[in-house]
Amino acid sequence: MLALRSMDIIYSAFIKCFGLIIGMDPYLLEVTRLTLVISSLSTLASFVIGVPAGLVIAQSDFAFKRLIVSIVNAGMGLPPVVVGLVVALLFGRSGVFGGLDLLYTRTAVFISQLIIALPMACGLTIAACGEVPRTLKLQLDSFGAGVYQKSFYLAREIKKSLIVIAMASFGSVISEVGAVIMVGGNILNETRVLTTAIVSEVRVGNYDTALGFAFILLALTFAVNYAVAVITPGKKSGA
Amino acid sequence: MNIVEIKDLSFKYPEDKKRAGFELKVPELSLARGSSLALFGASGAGKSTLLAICASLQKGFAGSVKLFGTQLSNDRCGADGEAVSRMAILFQDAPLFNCCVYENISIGLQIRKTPRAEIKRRVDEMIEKLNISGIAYADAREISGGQAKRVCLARLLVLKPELLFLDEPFYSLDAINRSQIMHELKRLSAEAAIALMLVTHDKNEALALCENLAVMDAGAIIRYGDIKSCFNNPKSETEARLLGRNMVFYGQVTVCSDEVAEIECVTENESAPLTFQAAADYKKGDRVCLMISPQDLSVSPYEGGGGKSQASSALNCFEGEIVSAAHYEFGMLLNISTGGGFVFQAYITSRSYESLGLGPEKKVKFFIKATAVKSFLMP
Repeated sequence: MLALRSMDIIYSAFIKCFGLIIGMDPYLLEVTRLTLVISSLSTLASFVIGVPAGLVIAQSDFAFKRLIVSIVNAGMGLPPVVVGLVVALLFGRSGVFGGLDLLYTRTAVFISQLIIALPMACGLTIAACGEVPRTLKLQLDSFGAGVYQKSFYLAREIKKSLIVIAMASFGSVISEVGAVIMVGGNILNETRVLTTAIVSEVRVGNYDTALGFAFILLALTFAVNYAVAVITPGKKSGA
Repeated sequence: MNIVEIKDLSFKYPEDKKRAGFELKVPELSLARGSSLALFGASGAGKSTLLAICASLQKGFAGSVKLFGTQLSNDRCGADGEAVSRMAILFQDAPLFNCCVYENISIGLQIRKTPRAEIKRRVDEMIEKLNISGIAYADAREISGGQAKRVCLARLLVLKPELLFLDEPFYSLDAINRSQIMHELKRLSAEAAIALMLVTHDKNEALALCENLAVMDAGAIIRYGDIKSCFNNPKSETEARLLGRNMVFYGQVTVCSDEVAEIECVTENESAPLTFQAAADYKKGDRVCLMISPQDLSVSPYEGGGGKSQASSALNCFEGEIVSAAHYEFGMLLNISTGGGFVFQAYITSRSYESLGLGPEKKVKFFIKATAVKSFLMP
């Protein structure tokens, strides 16, 4: 009986989902647009900061390199809820950055997503550089390449990995809910994204609408993964 | 003028590295402009480490290392810009960048900010010289090992280096490619008067490319000198074994006349001594070490009779039994036992092996010229 009810909900969700998409539902479009904008910007920012940092760390030999790499790697497994809590504390009224009045804004959502994606971009770049043959790096040294030149050629060596890193970062932030709901507050037309929209629809018992959002989220995640598979056929070492 | 000068160099790998505890010590070593030096020794002797230090790729050393008169810094790798710009290094594994062959060859010039027109001129010229125009625009990851090595070599030679470091560059190549590339390298380096520092444990590579030899063992240079003299006259057992003289015996001089010494050798079980004739000037009673190469044995089937063959000028003639025969690159390697614990090795061609009807358990006679028995006085 329960199984039949679940199937009804899923069937109804499909119908509703297609209805919403075909009908260009403003609520759905706004939530999806906001999700894509904030997640893309946070992915882009994490990529722009994390990849060069990873390239420099990977090729440098400094005193606390192992400690830094361990911190970055630990950051990749950072619980999003903890990130949300820290950002909420920092940007809350009594927080260090309370004066900026950013809590429950898109900027706060962007910052929390950036903190989640940044270690991933940096850590995966370091790992990808580790796959580049040591002698290739030594060859660059022997040509007299400086830090920036070496970073450029290393980035070129791991270009396929960089695409995967961008996609992985995007995948992690678009599916994030704990931190986003904590610092964004799930405000309609302001900070409501696909994941938090699902939560709010379930709360009010709109399972079909929630599943509709879930299908869109899954479709986006699948599209990202499929793009990775298409872009990186027969991935070779160091790339 | 010396382009590499080492004085009181010592280097220890840090405790957290794989080779922690290994120590390299080189009191003095130099390489003159346009000359060539082979760093020869077994794996783990410190050859590649010494080469990396000279090429400014390994830091953390103590002592003085000068490259083109510039004291190498102990800062980051490749920090010694001016000196580094005059050298190039060819690695064992032919690492290529993830782009086309043409781009690979031009990378060093791009890094050194060479004008675009000059890059094109030099790359085109080198592609022509190394006969790789057919793969110029191929994906560098798709070409064969021999082609990859040529591309690596081209990438270095376009830089017009005055010094080329070669770290076991022919290791992964088949015999044909090895020989071809070795000769191309020899020709091109001679044309441009490029000095070579080669790391190898292959005698033929060292002899083909270098005029000087530094034999390394356990982080130290145990012999340095003219390559032919080093290979022909090892001065210690370690050196002899490293240089391919697999048979080392110890004995005492019993007679010495006309610059030929008669030396009686026994093995550890001291059951049956063998007497060798060696072209050397010793006194009776001197204790000496004898070294023989497998190439210096001439083998014939045993047909009865004993003692020295009248048909041969070789002063040493022994009888023995083949205990094993194995194929090697150019023929067969025989292990011959004469009893008393003496085992000799002999390289012969497969044709001789078959035509003489040799094989395991066959009795043979073998000859060694007195001049092929190298020796030195024991301390």
